[in-house]
Amino acid sequence: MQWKGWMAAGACVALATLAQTTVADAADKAAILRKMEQLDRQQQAIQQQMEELRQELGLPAPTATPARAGATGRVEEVERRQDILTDEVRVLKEAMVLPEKKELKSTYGLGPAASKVYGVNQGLSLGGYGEFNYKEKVGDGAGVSDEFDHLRLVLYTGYKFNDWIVFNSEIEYEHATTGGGGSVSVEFATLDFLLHPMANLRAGLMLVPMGFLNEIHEPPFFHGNVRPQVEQQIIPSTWRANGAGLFGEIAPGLEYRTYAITGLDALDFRSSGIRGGRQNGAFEKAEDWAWVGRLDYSPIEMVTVGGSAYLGNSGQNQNFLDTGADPDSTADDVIYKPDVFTQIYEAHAQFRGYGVELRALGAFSSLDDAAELSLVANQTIGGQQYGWYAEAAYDVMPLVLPGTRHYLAPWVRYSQFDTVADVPSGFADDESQDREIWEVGLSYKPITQVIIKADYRNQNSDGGELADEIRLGAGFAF
Amino acid sequence: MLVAAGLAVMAGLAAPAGATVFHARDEALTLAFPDADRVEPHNHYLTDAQRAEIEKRGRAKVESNLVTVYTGHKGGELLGYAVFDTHIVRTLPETFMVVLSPAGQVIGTHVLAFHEPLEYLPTERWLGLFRGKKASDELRLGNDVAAITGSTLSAQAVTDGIRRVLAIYAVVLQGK
Repeated sequence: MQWKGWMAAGACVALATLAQTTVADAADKAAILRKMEQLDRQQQAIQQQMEELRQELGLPAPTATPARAGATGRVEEVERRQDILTDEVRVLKEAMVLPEKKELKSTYGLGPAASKVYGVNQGLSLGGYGEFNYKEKVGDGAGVSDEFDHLRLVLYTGYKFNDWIVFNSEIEYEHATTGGGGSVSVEFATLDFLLHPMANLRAGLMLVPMGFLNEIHEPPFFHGNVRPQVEQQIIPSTWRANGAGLFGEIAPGLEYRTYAITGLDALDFRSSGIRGGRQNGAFEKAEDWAWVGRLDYSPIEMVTVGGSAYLGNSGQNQNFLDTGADPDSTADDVIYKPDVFTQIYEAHAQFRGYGVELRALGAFSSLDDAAELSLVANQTIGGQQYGWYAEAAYDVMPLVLPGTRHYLAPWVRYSQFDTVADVPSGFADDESQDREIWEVGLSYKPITQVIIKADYRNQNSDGGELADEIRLGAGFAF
Repeated sequence: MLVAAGLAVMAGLAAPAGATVFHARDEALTLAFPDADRVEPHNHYLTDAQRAEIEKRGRAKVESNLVTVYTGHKGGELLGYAVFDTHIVRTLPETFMVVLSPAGQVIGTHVLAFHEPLEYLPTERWLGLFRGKKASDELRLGNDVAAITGSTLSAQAVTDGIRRVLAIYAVVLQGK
């Protein structure tokens, strides 16, 4: 009897299990069917959206494929549709930036097809950069105030009217507010006419193409919180002037720029250099013009050597009033009208590779009529100025953390310059303008576009000690 | 008169210099495999693990689980792989194509479309530096890849893109 009981119990269990399985199967099938219907609906919706998108982009309709009938082909059909949709997604993804067929290419310059493909807003390009730093005066500068300056905030705006006419500009807030001694300036605003890789036309408010930093000065791409002083005092960056000129690449790695720009204004030259003579685009005196040219050669990608020259008068056809020994009396006044022929020459070289960065730059300038200028300005204005610097940096991060994207480079820079290198006869040299600077620092970039900077500057002049500085800051570019 | 002549010269020369689309897709594939008698697209659906592995090895973000690899063939012979990579340089996109040999070495890198101002465009010569690079190479800007003044952002983006494509080769095509 007992075995019968076991048998019956076993059969019951088996039946119950079977029943359960059948119920479960039915539920699964219903769920699968629901899922398929849902997928069907989703696919139809996606197809419709794709059709709309395709029409918007002006792409041709895909080859029609007959739908398969029959319940047995259902899964295959879903797979087939999925393949089609995947290909459509691929084509659409690519078509957002790239036309499918070559025929479109011949029309993209001017044709409406291309503008449909690339969208209406593609002409506008935005970018920007900024930098801020804290400076603590130390050592020789005891007693001089520390400061925290929001040095620059810059917005780049570019607009591509078509494939060969492009506008580019840089609008800059310096020192955060005009209410606190800061300024808002258009640093450059140019129209480029891209005619030929070897000769393109540029006109407007142009960055004078001298040195490393005048044209490329985004903070992540130079070391130190403050730009090298030679590129402020001898090459007065950011130096810009209205004008027009040509630029291009003559041979692979050989680039040039040649511009005609308004000359400097010698009325504002000082012992500290020509920096004040920049006209910065506003109501520029255009009586005297200058030519500036630059050549850069990069024999291999890691090496660049180049040079630039600026030649032109800075008198601007103005009367220069020398108030004489007695400023209150007009009896000893003298009026000059000097040409102030100004020449600036600069050479630079750079190596970047294997984690090593080396830069060197030398600049020399000469001014005619320095004696008259000195009389008028009532201070010694040098007939010649010169300066040079050399710097080295090494990215140690790959040694510390192999495979990392971070960048950490200690760097060192030595600079020397003198803005009164040639003293006009009858004047005394201003020894405080003859300076020697040692700087060491750290540049840390968690990503390419963001930099955190720490550096120390030791500055001395022949005319006495100058404040040393510890500087901490950050910068970015996008 | 002079102005008119100048404008005429401009109009005549204007066409290709400022172009932002250098090669259409079909043309790019011909450029990738000039000897091929057929080019096939292969869609790969990445698993999340594969995607994470590609990001880790390539040290660059992967935007989608759908990766299309084109293969070039001549008869029964596989000529290589081509992958398109589109990314934002500053605010506008750039598309370039990396061509790999069947062994996974970079044969060519071509910028196909560039919508940023052209002064940020990496040069042909610089793109040529990647020839022969493979998945095991470091590819670090300023180290084994030269940095370029003025187009650092696009140089960084291209370097990231090539690392990503090499990682796709290693993880998806080689399955390692």
